[in-house]
Amino acid sequence: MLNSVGETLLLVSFLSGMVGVAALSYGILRHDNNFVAMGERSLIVIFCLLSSAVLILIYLLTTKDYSNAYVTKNISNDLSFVYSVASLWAGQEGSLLLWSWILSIYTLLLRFSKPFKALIPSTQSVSLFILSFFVFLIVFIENPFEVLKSTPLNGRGLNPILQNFYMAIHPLTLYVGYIALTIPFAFALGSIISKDKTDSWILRSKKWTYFSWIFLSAGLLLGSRWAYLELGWGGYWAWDPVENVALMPWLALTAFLHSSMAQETRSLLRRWNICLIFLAFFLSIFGTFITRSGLISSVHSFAQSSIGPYFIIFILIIVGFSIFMYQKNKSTILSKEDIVSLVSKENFLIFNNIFFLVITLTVFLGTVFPIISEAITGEKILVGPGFYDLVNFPNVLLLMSLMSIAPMIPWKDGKVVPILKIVLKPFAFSLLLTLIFFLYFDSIKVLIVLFLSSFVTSIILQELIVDFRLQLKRSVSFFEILKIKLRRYCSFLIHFGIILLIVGITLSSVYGTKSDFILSKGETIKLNSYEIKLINTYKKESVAKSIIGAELELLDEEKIYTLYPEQNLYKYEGNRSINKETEVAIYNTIKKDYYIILIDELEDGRFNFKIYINPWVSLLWIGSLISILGGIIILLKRRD
Amino acid sequence: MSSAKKKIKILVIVLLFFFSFLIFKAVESSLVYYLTVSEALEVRAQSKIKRLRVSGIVEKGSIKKNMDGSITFNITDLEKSIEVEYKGEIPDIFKDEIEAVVEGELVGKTFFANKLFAKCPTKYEEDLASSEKVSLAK
Repeated sequence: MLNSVGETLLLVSFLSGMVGVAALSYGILRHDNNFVAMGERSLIVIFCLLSSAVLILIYLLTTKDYSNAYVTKNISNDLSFVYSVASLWAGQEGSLLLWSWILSIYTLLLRFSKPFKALIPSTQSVSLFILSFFVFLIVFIENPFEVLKSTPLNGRGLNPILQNFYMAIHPLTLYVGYIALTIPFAFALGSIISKDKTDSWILRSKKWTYFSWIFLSAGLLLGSRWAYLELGWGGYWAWDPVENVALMPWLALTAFLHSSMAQETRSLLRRWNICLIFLAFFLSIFGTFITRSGLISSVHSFAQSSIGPYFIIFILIIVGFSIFMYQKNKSTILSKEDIVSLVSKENFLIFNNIFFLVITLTVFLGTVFPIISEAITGEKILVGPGFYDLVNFPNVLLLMSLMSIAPMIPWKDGKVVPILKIVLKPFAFSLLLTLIFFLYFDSIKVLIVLFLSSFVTSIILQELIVDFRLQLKRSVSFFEILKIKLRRYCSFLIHFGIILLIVGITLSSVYGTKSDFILSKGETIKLNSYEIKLINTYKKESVAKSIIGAELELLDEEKIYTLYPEQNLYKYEGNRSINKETEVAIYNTIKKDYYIILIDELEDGRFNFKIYINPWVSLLWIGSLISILGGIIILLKRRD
Repeated sequence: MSSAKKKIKILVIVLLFFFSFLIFKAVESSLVYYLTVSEALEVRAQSKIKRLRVSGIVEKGSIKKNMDGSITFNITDLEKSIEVEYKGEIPDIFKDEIEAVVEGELVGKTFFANKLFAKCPTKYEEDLASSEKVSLAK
């Protein structure tokens, strides 16, 4: 009963989406406000319908109504309430429904944009078209309300790997960010459609881009945390296709956040910004396509499905239409001013964009390489992680160099000497600092990174000190300076966070070690500088699973850490093919992470382990959080 | 075009050349061939290809634990099979008759893997789709 209601709701929302797109387009073309108003009303209708559909599916999931195929596939009787709700995004159909619902909220929110009213209808029509595509998928291809002929007594259950805190929030966070990219894209395309010659689309969509950036960053952070803590992959990033496609829109968006400043301040790079936000959006759709179609093999398992061809058609339509509209109206989006000097912020922003885009291109190439090579040579060839490291490392160094001086360079036409004066002291200071670092670190790679990091940081600190002194001298209150320069301070905060992140990645990848070892009870082994002793092993039984665990004592730098790595075996397997779950034992300190995996018990009763010592990973998490915090403050303080 | 713009263009072109070269070099140095079991056995003769990634189904009952903590198992493409020796963490979903991907080198008849990926079979979903689903719309 509820299933047929849900299915009907979806069908009606698809129809009203079509009507809405048609009404908006007609209204825009004929300048008929009645039709525009009709289109806008269809947005409210779709939002209400999809909200009800989401509620119905959540109800079916939490009441474990196995007459629904989606519920049966993703839930079992032993699943708790929270994970039952989270199963909304555990499978393909539910994810797509959630996706549509979130996009319908965003599209509806466009109504409340007060200024730039002229831009809204065309923006809404673009967004509504995209929304209609996703609704089309859940109505005709991946219906979340499909009914089973016979109702089973128990479902197949949620994959145990997915039963943790990160599963409950990571996909959702990433979706919220991914989908929010649709709105700046719709604004850009909308401004072309409505032949808007101002920069209002940039101003209007800036908040959306920050919003999207924050959630994409948080999503990526949670994803790598999840991989690191729960999955026992030993690392936070593996250049897996699924990770890559999430990173690419983030890279393009970060480039856009920088270059759009040139348009906001000097009305420059107008065409470029449109192309860039197009790219960011296309990459997000491409990412959805890759992860949802199973085109590229990945460690992540997603349900393979038949939505691939529809996605290709959709991508062709949306990319084709965007390029066509852009070409047609290119002459109207000329920048009024020009770049007049190399020593100008706009010039540095261009180079920032180039480096970001080279990284994006690298990640893209690496991801699609197997497809291309198979098409050309008939052989599937991959590129390993070495590929990404080799290309991205110089790029990151160049970006760090820009990050140090670019914020100090004025718009339009700067003079070299005053800039040199600003950077001289920090430069000398960082050189000195690097000499001290040289006592502790021997790797050239690390020393270059540390030098650039101290350079960026000390330039920021210098400005803060100068501001603070000025404040004392002129007796302006600290809050007033903060008010005036908040935006700038936040960008410093983000940059500083990124610096910590880069340092964390560099140190942990250069100095990280891993070893395999086998121990019997009471035995001690010495590896590198530390000692490990297997104190005890234990077996536990609970209703849902049986656990094998080990108690290990690790002695390093005169401190003793106790770790408990475990292997869980789930008893109720259902039709899941996975019933094993590795519980990694991690002891975090600021300086080092001790990361132990219990691989298994050998036949002679000894135990087989793997240990990773990952230095300074903590900087990676702290840095990311600081950057995200900076982004949040900018978003909250922005007025338009 | 202003002189500043011209200079920027030249710089950009130089940079792009540099990066193209870098990407080319990086691709060359990190290639991994992705093959089926039969293909892997064929290319073994070609000495220049070192690193391989081979996918296949884990043969039933072939997984053995060794005393040094490594495991051996056979993977097959239903025509030929290779013995794989692997040491390291084992993915939770790894077991008999699933699709596994191993990365490493083929020496003699044994494939020494240092990476092991396991793929989640989606077979049951297809079964469900073909046998049990009926849409309400019909």
